[in-house]
Amino acid sequence: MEKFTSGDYRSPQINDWCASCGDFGILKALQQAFVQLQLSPDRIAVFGGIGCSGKTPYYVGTNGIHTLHGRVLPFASGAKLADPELTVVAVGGDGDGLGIGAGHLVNSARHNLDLTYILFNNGVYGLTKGQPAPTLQRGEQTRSMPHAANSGRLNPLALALAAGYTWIARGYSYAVDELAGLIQQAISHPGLAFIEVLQPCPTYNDLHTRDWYESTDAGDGSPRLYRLAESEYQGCILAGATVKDANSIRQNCYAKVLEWGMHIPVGLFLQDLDTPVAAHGIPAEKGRAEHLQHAIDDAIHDDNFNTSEHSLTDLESCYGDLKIDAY
Amino acid sequence: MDNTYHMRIGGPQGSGIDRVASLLARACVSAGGEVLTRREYHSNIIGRHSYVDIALWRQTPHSVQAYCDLLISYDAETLFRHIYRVNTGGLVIYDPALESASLEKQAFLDAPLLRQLEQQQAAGPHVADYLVSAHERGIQLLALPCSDLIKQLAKTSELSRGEVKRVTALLAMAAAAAHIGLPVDVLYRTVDNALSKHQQLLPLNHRAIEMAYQHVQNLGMANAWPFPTRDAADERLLLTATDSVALGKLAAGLDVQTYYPISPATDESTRLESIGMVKLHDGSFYQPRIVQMEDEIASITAAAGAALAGARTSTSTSGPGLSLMSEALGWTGMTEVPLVVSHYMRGGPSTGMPTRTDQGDLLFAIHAGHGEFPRIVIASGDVEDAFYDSMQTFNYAERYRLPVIHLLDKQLTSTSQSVKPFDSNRIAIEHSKLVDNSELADRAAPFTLNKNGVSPRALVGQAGNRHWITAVEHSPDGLVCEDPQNREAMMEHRMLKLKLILDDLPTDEKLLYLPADNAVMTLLGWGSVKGAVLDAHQQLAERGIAANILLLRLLCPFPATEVQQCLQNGAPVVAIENSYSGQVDALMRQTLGRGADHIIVKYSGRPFTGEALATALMQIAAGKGQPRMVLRDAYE
Repeated sequence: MEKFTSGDYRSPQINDWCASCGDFGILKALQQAFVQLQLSPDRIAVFGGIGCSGKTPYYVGTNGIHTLHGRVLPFASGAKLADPELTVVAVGGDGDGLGIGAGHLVNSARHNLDLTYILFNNGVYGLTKGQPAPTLQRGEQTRSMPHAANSGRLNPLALALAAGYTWIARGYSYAVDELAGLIQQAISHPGLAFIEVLQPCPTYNDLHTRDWYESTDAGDGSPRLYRLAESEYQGCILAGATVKDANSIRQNCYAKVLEWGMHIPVGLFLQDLDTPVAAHGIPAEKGRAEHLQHAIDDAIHDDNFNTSEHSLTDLESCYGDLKIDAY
Repeated sequence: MDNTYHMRIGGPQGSGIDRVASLLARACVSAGGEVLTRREYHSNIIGRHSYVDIALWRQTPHSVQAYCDLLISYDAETLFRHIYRVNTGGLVIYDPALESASLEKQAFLDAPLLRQLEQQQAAGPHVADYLVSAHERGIQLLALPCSDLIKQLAKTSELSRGEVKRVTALLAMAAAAAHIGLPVDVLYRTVDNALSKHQQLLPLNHRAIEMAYQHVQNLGMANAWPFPTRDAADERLLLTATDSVALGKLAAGLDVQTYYPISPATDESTRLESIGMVKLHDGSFYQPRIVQMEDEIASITAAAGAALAGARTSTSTSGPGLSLMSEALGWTGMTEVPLVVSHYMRGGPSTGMPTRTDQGDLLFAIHAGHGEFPRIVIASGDVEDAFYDSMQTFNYAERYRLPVIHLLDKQLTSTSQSVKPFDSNRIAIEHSKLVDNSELADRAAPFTLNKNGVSPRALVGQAGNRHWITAVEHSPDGLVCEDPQNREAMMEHRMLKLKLILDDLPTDEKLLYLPADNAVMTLLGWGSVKGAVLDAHQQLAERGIAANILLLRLLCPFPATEVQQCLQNGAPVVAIENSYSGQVDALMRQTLGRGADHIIVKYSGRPFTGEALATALMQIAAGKGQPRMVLRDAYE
């Protein structure tokens, strides 16, 4: 019998997303992944950016933190630095991650902290009523745009690959079970995992609709979205792989992430088990600095907020060449 | 009597002057002196003019002076720029090879100073002419033929000519050391310590020092000054505010520091990184995580994320960085996350003057971020204060659940001061009260309303607790709520902290007040003007002019009641600030309804010196002061 059920990851907050928003599928998949992993809700933190997707933290029964536009990754990274055993998931929209937050999206890969980043791709800035997101093609014009998009499309997966994410996947918001499986794998991956989720915005994106994603425009009856797992493709870099082998896999991956239009691959694009996870001081398994935990334990049991103790630090060990002995 | 000795060491950046100045300062402290140094430099790696002042005496000097007793020159620009700043009876150490250098060939000399020097030029445009006129003003000259000495050294050294040439900078410094009577053994030992990983260089360095000492003795210019000594057993630290702030953070139990490289704040994070593992009193070790982020926005948001999870967290930056951090600063105010921002002010606006000092961020620090939220802004006056303040900022952040901005500036980062080892027991370690896990029904309410504005914290990841945090207006449960009554209650609750802080903090954590009998004025300042104010105050006292000193530590919330009490005696208030407008005056008008009677400002990017400040104050005492007085010095 499972200790945690789906109810443990639900939130009493009233959801104000539009009916049939793709966000619902992602939320459900996220909660499903938590059930599958049997993670204690108090040891999960879901961080959200700004926008419709940024509200996801309100709708999960874990810790939920609503941050700033574009900054979800550094907020999430900070929590992971402080508490390496915490399960940290960052979510944000395509405008959040590829527009205002692009610098963080790229540089977070360099740290390779053990986080999961889910990028909700619906092609528009929904909450501000449908302006083009960086994922919209030049020339595309969705419902509320006064003219076609002047700027071109950023490819989230290509960017993640170039930046050095060690786990890269794409899911579809209405393929909930598959997406839950991907999220589960992403959380289990020891390093920074990136999932792009294709999702309709039923209110503002009248181009990339559920019908569009689920259609067979190629004319041969083949679906637009196809599963990488059912193809020849494999993108796993094993620990200890040679540079040549690793680069060959990345090159294949790059070719794969360029596919778009009639046929769009979904599933796992890259799994890099060779790049080390950031340690930043204390190894993750040691948990927080003991003095910090000690202080927290003390504070919990003290009614006075001025809990006080003396400094635990031996300053003499820190002085180094700053200290001058008298001659 | 104050008999402080002022040395100035000038030369091209990257030529080793920082290194020899640091060695000289260390040797002076090791030999029993107390020092205060100041470093002026450009945002440049190699070639432009920089100089280091070292003030030396029995007690730690409060400030350096515009004039020096000894000028050690490593290039012609140093002689042109500073020779008018050598006191009568002082000494200039120079290389005679520079005598033929001419003023117009000084590529890095800025146009305004070049014009000024051309107008007041002595007998001619060459270094030799300037030396002649200096000699006529009663300044001694000590010629040190460096290339001859290097040749001699090369003859007896197994090292290459290039390696031998690298001790050039040491020669003039050692000559200065011989002049002031620094025991040569101390200099040897100081150099030995610095070169402990380069043993093969020691014989050469020792011979260079010996040769310079001999040269000065032969000229009859050795031991010209009574070298001060203190108790031999008395240990000292010699450090800047970036060092002392870093140590204060470690003493406070720093867990995570994030940063993005920026002058002049970076040295603090570099110091933390170089310390690495920290030993605790119980013999165990811990390693704070010092993380370089991709920009200042990432720095403060990652710091906020770490603070959410309960870490003692800080970030460190300078002007442009705080500008970028403003939005996230509001986030921490709204979500009541304890966070320390160490802010090292530099000349602004925009890129401004990255390596020059300024206090023009005062009102920005108080107001940075949109909307209204409580914060604490405190300022440190010197290197020693900076340590204790740095420790205390974490207590404030946790005690009141808010962001704390610790104001420092470039002057404090490039001023080394000899101080006694710190006493970390002077500041208790305080942590926020947390919600009690055992009482958690289901979810923690992170913002419960109470009488003083500070509710128990819920940590992200705290076992048995889960909760929501948002900087959207929220209910006590942390749920989004824009209801008018909720908004009012939450706004009032957050802002209540400002009153609590003012009620809670003892006066000595708000300000330092030193009243004087029959004071004719009150000198009011904050931050790094402290040293110059103390020196100027002493100089006034020596001329029979009594003045009160009021140095502000807490700038936000403003301790209006205590300041009002200090000013009740009616003595005219003279506000002193390294800025264009004298922002503390505006702050007083806003919070007290009265401003200063005079403001003395300096915005050249250089710090106040005691003597220049004293001159301006004497004008005020003589009834000749203007409401706004600007201190200027073309040679700095």
